[in-house]
Amino acid sequence: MAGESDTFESVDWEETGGRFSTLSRRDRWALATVVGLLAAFVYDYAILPADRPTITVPVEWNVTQLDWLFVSTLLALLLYVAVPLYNNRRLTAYYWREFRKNRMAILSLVYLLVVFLIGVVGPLFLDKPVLAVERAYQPPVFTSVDAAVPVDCLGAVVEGRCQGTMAHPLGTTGDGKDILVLVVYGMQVSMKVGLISTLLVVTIGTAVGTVAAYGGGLVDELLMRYVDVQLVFPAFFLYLLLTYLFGGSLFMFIVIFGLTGWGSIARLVRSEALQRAEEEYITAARSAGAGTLYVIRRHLIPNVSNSVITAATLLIPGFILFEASLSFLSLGDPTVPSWGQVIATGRGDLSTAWWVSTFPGVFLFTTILAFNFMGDALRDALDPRQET
Amino acid sequence: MRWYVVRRVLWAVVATFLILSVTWGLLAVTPNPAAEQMQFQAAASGGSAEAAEEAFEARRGLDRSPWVRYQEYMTNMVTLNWGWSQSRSQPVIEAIAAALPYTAIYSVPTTILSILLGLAIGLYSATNQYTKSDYAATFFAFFGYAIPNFWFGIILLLVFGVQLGWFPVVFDSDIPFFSLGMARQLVLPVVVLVTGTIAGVMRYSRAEALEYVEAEFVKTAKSKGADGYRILTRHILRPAAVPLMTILVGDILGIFLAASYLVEVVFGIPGLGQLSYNAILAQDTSLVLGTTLIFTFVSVVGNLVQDVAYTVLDPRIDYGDR
Amino acid sequence: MPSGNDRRGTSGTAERRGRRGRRDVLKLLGATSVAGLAGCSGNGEGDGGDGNGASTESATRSVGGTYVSASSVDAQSLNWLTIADATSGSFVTATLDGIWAIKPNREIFPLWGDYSTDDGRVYEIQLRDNLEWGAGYGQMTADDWVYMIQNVFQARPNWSGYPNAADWFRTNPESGQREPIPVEQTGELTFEIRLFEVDPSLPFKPILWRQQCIPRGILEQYVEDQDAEGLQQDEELNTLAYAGNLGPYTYDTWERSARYTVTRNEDYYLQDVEGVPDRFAEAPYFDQQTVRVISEESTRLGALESGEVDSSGIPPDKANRFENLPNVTVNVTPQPYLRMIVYNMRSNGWEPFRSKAVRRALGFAVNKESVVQNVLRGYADVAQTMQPEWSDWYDDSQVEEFGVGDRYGPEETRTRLESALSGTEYGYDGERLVDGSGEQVTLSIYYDSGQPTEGTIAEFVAQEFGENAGIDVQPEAVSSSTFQSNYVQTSAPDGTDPEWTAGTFNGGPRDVATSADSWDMSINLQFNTYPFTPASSKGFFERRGGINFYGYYPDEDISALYEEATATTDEERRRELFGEAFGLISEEQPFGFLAMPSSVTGYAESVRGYDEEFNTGWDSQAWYFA
Repeated sequence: MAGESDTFESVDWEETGGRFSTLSRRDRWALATVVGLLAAFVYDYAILPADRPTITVPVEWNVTQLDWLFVSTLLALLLYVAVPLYNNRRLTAYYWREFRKNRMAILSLVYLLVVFLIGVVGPLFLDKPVLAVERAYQPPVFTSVDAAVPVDCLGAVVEGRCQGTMAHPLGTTGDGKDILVLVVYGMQVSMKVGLISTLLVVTIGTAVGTVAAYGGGLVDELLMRYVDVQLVFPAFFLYLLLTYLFGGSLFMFIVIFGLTGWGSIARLVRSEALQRAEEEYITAARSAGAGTLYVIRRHLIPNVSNSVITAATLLIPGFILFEASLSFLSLGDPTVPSWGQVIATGRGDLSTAWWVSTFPGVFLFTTILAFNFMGDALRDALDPRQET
Repeated sequence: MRWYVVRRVLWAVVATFLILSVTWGLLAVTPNPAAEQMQFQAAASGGSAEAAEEAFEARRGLDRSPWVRYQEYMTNMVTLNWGWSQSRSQPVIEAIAAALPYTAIYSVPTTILSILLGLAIGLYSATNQYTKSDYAATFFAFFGYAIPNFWFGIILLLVFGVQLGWFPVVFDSDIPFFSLGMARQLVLPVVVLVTGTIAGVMRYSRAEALEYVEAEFVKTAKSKGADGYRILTRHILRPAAVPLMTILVGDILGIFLAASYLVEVVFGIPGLGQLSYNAILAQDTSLVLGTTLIFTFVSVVGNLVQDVAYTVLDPRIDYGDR
Repeated sequence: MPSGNDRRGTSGTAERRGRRGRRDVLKLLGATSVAGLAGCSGNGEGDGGDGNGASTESATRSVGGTYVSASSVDAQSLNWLTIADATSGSFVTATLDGIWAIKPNREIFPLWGDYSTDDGRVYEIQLRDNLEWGAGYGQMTADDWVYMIQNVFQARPNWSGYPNAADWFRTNPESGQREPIPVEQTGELTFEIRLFEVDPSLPFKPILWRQQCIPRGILEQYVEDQDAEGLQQDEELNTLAYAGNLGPYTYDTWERSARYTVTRNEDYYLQDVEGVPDRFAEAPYFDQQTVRVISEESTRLGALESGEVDSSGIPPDKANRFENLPNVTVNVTPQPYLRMIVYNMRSNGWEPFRSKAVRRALGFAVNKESVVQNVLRGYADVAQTMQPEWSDWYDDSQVEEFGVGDRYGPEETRTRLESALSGTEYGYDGERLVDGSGEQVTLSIYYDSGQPTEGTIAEFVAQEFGENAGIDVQPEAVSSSTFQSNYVQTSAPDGTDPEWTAGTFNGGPRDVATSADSWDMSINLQFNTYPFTPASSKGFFERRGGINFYGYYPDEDISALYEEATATTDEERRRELFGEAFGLISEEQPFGFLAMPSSVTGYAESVRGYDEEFNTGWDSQAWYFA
């Protein structure tokens, strides 16, 4: 988005003449990163034995397929959102002022950043919650429950009621797993689900949308008619059948919904791009001899990016919620400690052990809420039509 | 424009056909759990797994070539002979006809309520942007969207059904459709669904209304001393009505698509959502195709009507060249 | 009323023991495929029904009320020729009694008919004379039976797709081929089944137990053209219109995915039969029975708690809460399925599992009492072999116990495992079991992704293996259909021709045929122990058994013992032989036996008739409201 605000002086005219004329410095960085990641990935899968952790310093971390995708997503976010924002401080400051008008959005942003950071870092330091049947159903700290509910009360039993302890601040599940740890792990899962699927959706949707808009004619017709079919085809159905064939996993979820959920973004991008394509600076660029790819890359994409970012922010909570729903239907991957899984396992206990599905439920709820507030504020801040 | 509509209708037919074909193909390549279960039982009790498989395939007509089966299904689809549901032992048409009223009876009130409430909240929050009540209204709308449907449903059931006993816990399909008893047992599902869908309508109407809140003619009206209500109805709602109408047309057609599997499961309503989900789980090919056809048809037609309505209602849009 | 929440902890163990003792007296046996009504099961005052208060005869039986039970799944069909699932079976059984029932004390209770045999080979079936079909098909005669058996069950090819057709074929020792069992009509109401070889337990096998029948008049329309589709969609078959006076209830309505309703059959034939207990004289005692399909567990249990349904199954971790409710009685009965760890002894599993000594050593690694008490909350019994401890075929003196008392622990496991693995690349490096390259041994354990309790068991086993055997075990979830196709189906690689094959699940010798994906251990499947007919579990322990997907080669000839026992008519001798067989199985540890979970059902306080015994639903037509 911000890449477009290059002034005449700052444009690297050398660069535009080179062979990679459509690639900016940032893109080269991105390319280098991708190559680096691929190399690391190949090393992990082809050379390291499967059961050996990928890195051992500073913490032991066996990188999974999903982790690789997540790392790529984070790098993409860094290169295409954080870096441009930093490079264009003036525009960033303007957006910030607009965004700041909405207090809820600020609060949401802070909350999401906290969830994000804890989610990324926490699981590296906290052990994965383990089964401890004798510690089942411990109540959260400062609350108490009938002493018959927990198998073995860890805290004091006062007047037949088991008191919660600091050992398990949010209590434990029916398997004796600590809910606080589960919630922290769930943060990472939710971030993975939301961010990776959204990145896939945005990438494919933008590519298809701009190509359709700029290509026009038969290309446009084919792509958009395909989008029609895809939008109507139930992705849920596809997911169900593929879980029959390959078994359900988080990786599968992300890939399927990432690869089939881009229809609406493609439509949005196409219609925005159609409007832009008629504008004078595109005509000027074309008459100056710019190639198709160059026009798309330098003029179309940056101009539609605001709408895309807003739409993406609102897509993320949708994916998170969807993962939780699938877990509720026990169609998810039960070895992944997502919030949806914990809610699902605790839903039968609501009348005796309310805390099991309530805490992850509250986190799920606030996260989705925060994304929505942020999305709305972003729309208000980024949408040029609002600039009065 | 007529040419545009004709092309859209033709395309809707082709799209439906494509989707059905893909669905059929996916079902054909997916192993059938019921068949495997039967084979395993046969082997476990000393019988032959192969014989069990053959018997299963013979019973379901799977022993013919895929091409023959595909042709047969497609012909039947067109001739409205949708076949026999293996998992429910009744004709597919009958199964759908039995489920449809149950979906309608909760989705009609849900759609009406969410449109009314969503519009009201959206307009209110657009005219009072960045005020405390705007936040409160937005929060209320987002609250419903953000709270997981299934979880909210279970909590409501526990509190109002089991603890307080105000509403029945299990949906009783025996109660006559237009009766107090039916209304009573629909309260909780409708509340859950309305809170869930309000946010979408509210967001649209807020965004549309906002376009006009700052418009010159609204400012003019304001400066002339028109009161808030008049501005809202005359100067904001009227121009915003066109794009809103197109969204609502889609929404109203989508009533049957609102069939929420999760809500039907939690409250035990035997509607279309459960029907199609169970059909997929049981790999009941005829029923899956039948329900897919319904859903596809409704959403294809919904898209179509929405697009056409847009061209008709909004003179600014010109479809001449597309 | 049953005691409160004392099934947990130590007192729980004691109580469970006490109850098991009583069951020993009851001489229970029994296996089930289709039994009882709609997910509930129940019985009467029968033998020694002391325990539960619920079955005391103080209240008099009277007809009245609607009995509502909750089921998690709906039936698939009421046309029983096309179905094999238990829910559909229970829907049909309410309107069609079947030939006979098996009482919890392993006695035959004649319903439509009785059998007699002199040698255990030729069985004569005698039908009652007051059985009337509905829909104008007249009296039920032996002709209906023989026609159905010969033209549908034994038809070749199996045009109707009848799922249990294989039961009606047996190997003829003279020809060595599988041939249809000869069946012949000998009178208006009698027919004979002439087996090729002696089989004293035939009446207890599903082939006849609760076997239902269809009037010849209906079948004739389809037999000639082999019209499977017509048979499947027949109106009378799908609405049970032919049931007449043959069952306690009459079909009323079936709203798919919602409710199935049957009403009291005023003409029920059992009311006019001499020589049956008095309680059948006015049976059944409910005006109406309804099954409500409620797929969501929390809603189902909420309906039981609020009194909207009269019975529902309860998962073990919620049972304790219901025991404390005044308006619900929790009934705990044994059921025949066994929870165990299946070891993959094929070449894509961990090779040491092939050694009996290794499997025996691993038997010391998992605390079975803890599985029963902590994971299954006391609603289970420890399992040691392919038969429940309360079964008549279980011989304490023959069975070797593992994973209980001092036959469990880290020291016990490690010393045995070390010596069992001597001479291989594996050995202990401190606490950890390592392979030749010094890496810790890592094994997978698979469980069903739709079963939360199974996940807990898998995690528990993983922990126990880690602590007691020093093996790193990773639980993996997989859906049941994926498990079946990628882990249970075994075959030799394309292009190779294995020495022998025994079907889809045992595609050849274990070095050659493997499943598509590799695995080490699994708890996805529960095996039936067949407590009524123990010989039915023979296939699990044969090298070439059709179900042997795990590649087990027994050291001792277990199947020979099974065969000898099957053909023995002397009850005492059979018991000895089976006792010996189950002793051998416990000694060889082909599986890591864990537990026999109980079936837990909650009933509304006013329901009477059930008891805490196996197959308690056999006389559910005599249940009533107090």
